[in-house]
Amino acid sequence: MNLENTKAQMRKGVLELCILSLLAGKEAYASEIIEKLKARKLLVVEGTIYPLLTRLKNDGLLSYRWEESTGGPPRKYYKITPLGETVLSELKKSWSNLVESVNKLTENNKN
Amino acid sequence: MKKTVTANISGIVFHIDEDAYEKLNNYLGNVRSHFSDDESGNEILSDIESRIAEMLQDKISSSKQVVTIQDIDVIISQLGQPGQMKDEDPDPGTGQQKESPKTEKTSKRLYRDPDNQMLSGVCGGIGAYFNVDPTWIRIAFILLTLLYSSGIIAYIILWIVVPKARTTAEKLEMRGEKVNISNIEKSFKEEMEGVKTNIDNLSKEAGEKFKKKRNDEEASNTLANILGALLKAIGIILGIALVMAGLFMMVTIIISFIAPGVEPFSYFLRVPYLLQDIIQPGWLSAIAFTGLLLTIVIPVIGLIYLGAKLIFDINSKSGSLPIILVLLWVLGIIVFVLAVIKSVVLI
Repeated sequence: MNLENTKAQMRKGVLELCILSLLAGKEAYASEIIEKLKARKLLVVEGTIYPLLTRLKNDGLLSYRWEESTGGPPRKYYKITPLGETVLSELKKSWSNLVESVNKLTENNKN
Repeated sequence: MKKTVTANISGIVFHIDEDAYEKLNNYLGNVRSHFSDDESGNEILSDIESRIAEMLQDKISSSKQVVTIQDIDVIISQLGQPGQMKDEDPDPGTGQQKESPKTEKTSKRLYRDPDNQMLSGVCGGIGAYFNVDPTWIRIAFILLTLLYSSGIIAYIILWIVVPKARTTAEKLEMRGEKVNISNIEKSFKEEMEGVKTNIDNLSKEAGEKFKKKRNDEEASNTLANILGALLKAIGIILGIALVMAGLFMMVTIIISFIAPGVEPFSYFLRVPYLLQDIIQPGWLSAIAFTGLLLTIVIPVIGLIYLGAKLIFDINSKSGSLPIILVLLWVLGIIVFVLAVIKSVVLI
């Protein structure tokens, strides 16, 4: 069994929830999102984030605007859409259910 | 000291060491091909590029102005390999269905192999098709040539008919490997390795050429240009004449060999006809025949080749064709002489 792979799969599943939560109420550009996810050890390789952001944007959960930056390349600032908000609250619900269920299951098996 | 190149990444200009540039370019190429079937692939790629530009900006300062290969290694390990990046398929079921027809489509095709060529890559391609060392195929062709030159004729036909494997996908198809991203990536990497070993020679050569060109430019004036154009035109006309004469001779020779008695061709060349009187029919005469054919045909091929060179590009590299022609010619003479001597002794 490939432990690292399983861990990566676990993280991948909740990454959408994390990104939507990070963007709820506050817009940010990709590098900021990456920094925050990395600080919490939720992201191993940065490249994962770009296809994900693009897909969330294409699905209408996120929108973005361009902003010039001093010296660097222009930045894409992402913002959550009303649809994104709805999806986020759904995801949050199912996440807490999941955590509860998984915790119960693993606790029970210990005893 | 190291050579650097400038690169525009997301609108920002960077000075990059040549090896580092090669690596980054290779990496971005892999990312691009990885997302090539994704409709928003371009968008993802440009997002990644602008991230790379950002990270590179952090790495350079007024005391360190050039991006090195170490910087690129760090960035690549931070971003991850394309295989790790792929967003999960929304529905895993469809993802697998998408894969399977691709793998089933694996079929071998006959191409000429440009990476494995002595002359045109015909033998290399056939070797790849049957999974045999091309050297054996080459030997087989040479042996076949001893049989009324059928080897040469088959070779020329294959050369004309079989397409060259140009793209990586075609090369994979040639070897019967699956045309998918990881294989393309693999063979791309192999190619890059080859390129790297050649790059020194190449840049040296380019430098010399550049110098030469500059000298040429300095020396050139309008008169020289006119003279050059005139010479070129004469060369092309001469080339066309040579090719046409060569082709005519070829047809004559072939017909006189296939049907020695046929008028009016036998007037041009009575040798094969006479040969039949000297040598008894049988395997020896077949060999003598082939040797003679080689001896006569090869100078004509040389003539056509020279003409073609005059028409298209005088300065292009000749490759190994002239050497092979000369060798075959000498071989033809030896075979012919030996066969004749042998048959005389037998009589």
